[in-house]
Formats: sequence, C-alpha cells, structure tokens
Amino acid sequence: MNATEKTVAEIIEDVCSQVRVSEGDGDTPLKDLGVDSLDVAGIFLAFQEKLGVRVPDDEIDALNTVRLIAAYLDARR
Amino acid sequence: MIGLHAIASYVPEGSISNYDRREQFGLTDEFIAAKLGVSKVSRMGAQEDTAALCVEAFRRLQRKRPVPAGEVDCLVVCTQNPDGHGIPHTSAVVHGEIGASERCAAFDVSLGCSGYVYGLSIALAFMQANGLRQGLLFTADPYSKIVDPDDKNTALLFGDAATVTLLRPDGPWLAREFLFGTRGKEGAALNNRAGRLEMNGRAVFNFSATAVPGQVAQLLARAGVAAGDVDLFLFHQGSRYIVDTLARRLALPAAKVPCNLAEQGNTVSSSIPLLFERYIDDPAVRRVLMSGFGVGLSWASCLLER
Repeated sequence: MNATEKTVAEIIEDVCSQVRVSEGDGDTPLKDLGVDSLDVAGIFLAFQEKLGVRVPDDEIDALNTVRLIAAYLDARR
Repeated sequence: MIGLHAIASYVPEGSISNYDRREQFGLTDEFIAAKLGVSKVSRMGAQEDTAALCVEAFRRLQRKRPVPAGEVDCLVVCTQNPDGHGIPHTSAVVHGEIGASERCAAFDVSLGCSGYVYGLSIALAFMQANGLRQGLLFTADPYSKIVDPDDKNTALLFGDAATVTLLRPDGPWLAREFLFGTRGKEGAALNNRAGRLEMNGRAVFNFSATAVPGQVAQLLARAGVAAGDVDLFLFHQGSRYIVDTLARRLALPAAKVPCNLAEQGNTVSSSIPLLFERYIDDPAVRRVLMSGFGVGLSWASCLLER
C-alpha cells in the first residue's frame, strides 16, 4: 500500500472498530472487509474532516476499495 | 419555577420486526442489532391517530400521577403528523378528548426530532410568563403515516409512540440552559414529499455527527459544567449508530449514553422523553443533558438538574 492507501486504511479502522485492513486488502471490496452502509457515511465524513476532501453522494458507491478511494483522494488534494 | 414532574408514554402494541425483513433489505442480524439498534418498529392501530396516542399517554400518566384534566391550564402537542390535515390542531383534539377546561391554553408545535427540547423551553417559558401552574407537553409524531414500507432508509427506523410530560411548580427537574440551532438550507435532507418521507441518510448523519457535539460542548461550557459531572446524556434515538457516534466523538463513556431503540425504533420527538421516563424518578440521576436533532435541519440541547 502507498502512503494514501495506508491513511485510508487507518481511517477505516478508526471509524469501524470491527474492521481490520491488512496490506493485501487494497482491492478488497469494503463490504467484504465488514464495512456496512452506515459505516460508509462515517468513513467519508472522516475523509472530509481529516483530509479535506468531500465526496459527492453520487460518487461514493463507485469508491468501494481502499485503492479506489486513495486514488480519488490523491487526485483532489 | 416550573419543573418536570413526571413522564408517561404510550408505545402501541402493533409492530413490524426488522428480523422479518432481512431478506427484503439484505440485512444481517449484526447490522440490525449493532448498527440500527432497532429490533422492531412500533405501529399504531388502524383506528388510532396522533391525538389518540396522546390521549392514551395521558391515561397512563393518570396511573402514575393523577392529574385532574380540569386543572390543566396549558396543553402543548409537538407533532408534524397531526390528526387529519391539521385543522383543528391536534392539541385541541386532545383537549376535547381528555376533558380539559375552557381556560386551558392549547397549541401545537411543528418540529421533528428536536421538538422535545424546544417544547420544554416553549412550554416552561409560556407557563411562567402567564402564571400557569399545570402543563402537559405531549410528543406524538407517528411516521407510519408517511413512511414508505419499501424504503430501506426509513422503514427500518421509525416507530410510533406518544409521551406526555407533566410540568408544574413542584416538578423537581429544572431546566438550566438551552441552546438551539437551525440549518434550513439543508432541510431537504429529511422531508415529506407528497405524503412520503424522504431521508438522505448520509446528509442527516453528517449533520448530526458534526452539529450536535459542538452544541453539547458549547452548552456545557456556558453552564460551567464538566462532561464528567453530567449523569446521563440523552440523545435523540436516531439509530444505534448515530448514538454511538455521538458518544465516541464526545469521548463519553457508554454507560452515560443510554440507548433504547430496540423495541420501538426512532420515535422522533418522543425518543428523548421515552428515554428520560426510565430515569426521571431515579434518585441517582441528578443532572442530564438532552439533545434532539433532525428535521429542519434543527437541533436543540438543554441541561436539566434537580
């Protein structure tokens, strides 16, 4: 994982206490990691607060892996 | 000073189990229990309406603290789902049903999940300004009237209930501080469109998770009270997830942030009094902070002490 992917993974683990993201989970769908629809709201709020990037509602569904989220954030910071 | 003397509630026996809708909505037991926190949503009967829920709550109050209806001089109903189309106002319907006197003031307050805190401030101030001695603050917002049963965002959350809070000079619980907030520009996040409730869950979550902790912190600072000196934080019971999120963001111990959604769901303006009813007579609880938030977007917090 690159630096942004690690940050994304840390935020996910921080928001979802039951979720663990390991090195090889970059392309694993968040749902398979145990992230549910309510967690998604919390995670994307954390991205907004900690990284200053607000993701529009209609773009969230497509951002369903750590790698996709990290690439999205890198392109907008 | 007028204080809160007693609370009674009515949760209709009818309900819909969320466990029976696992397949329809793709739910897991873990999600229902740990995230929604709602096992079933209560539903009023076909013959019941908003005022009828209030009247039943009043009957239950009579069993706890007998209140001659003729001695009630202020009757407030907080609802956004009134009887019929809102004319006459639901408080007048309740007034007629319980047999209150003609000298009793009766009016409705149109607010959602912040309504109980607002309602307390309005009723207490109105009573004190006009020398009234015995007041009833009702909450009843049966969302079953407007919830689309196939809408996962709302059908799993909202339940029907009514509460009544008795306000009078010997009420031991006194309101110390209130704070209010409104974000009307984002009001579309929770709205009634042509008779159907619509909720943008993410927008409501973001609002709640950011606005409420700030207001709670401000209220505590204004009152000069440390969070550790508050016995209970009674948050609007939106969902288990939002209650847990608020506790986490405010660094509050779970034991001080009770949650009672499981048996009826999110009952809008009734959720805080339904929760406070459990503790109002508990001698170990002497200071509570309440915070309601939702429709508007609107939020309100207050500190009560005895």
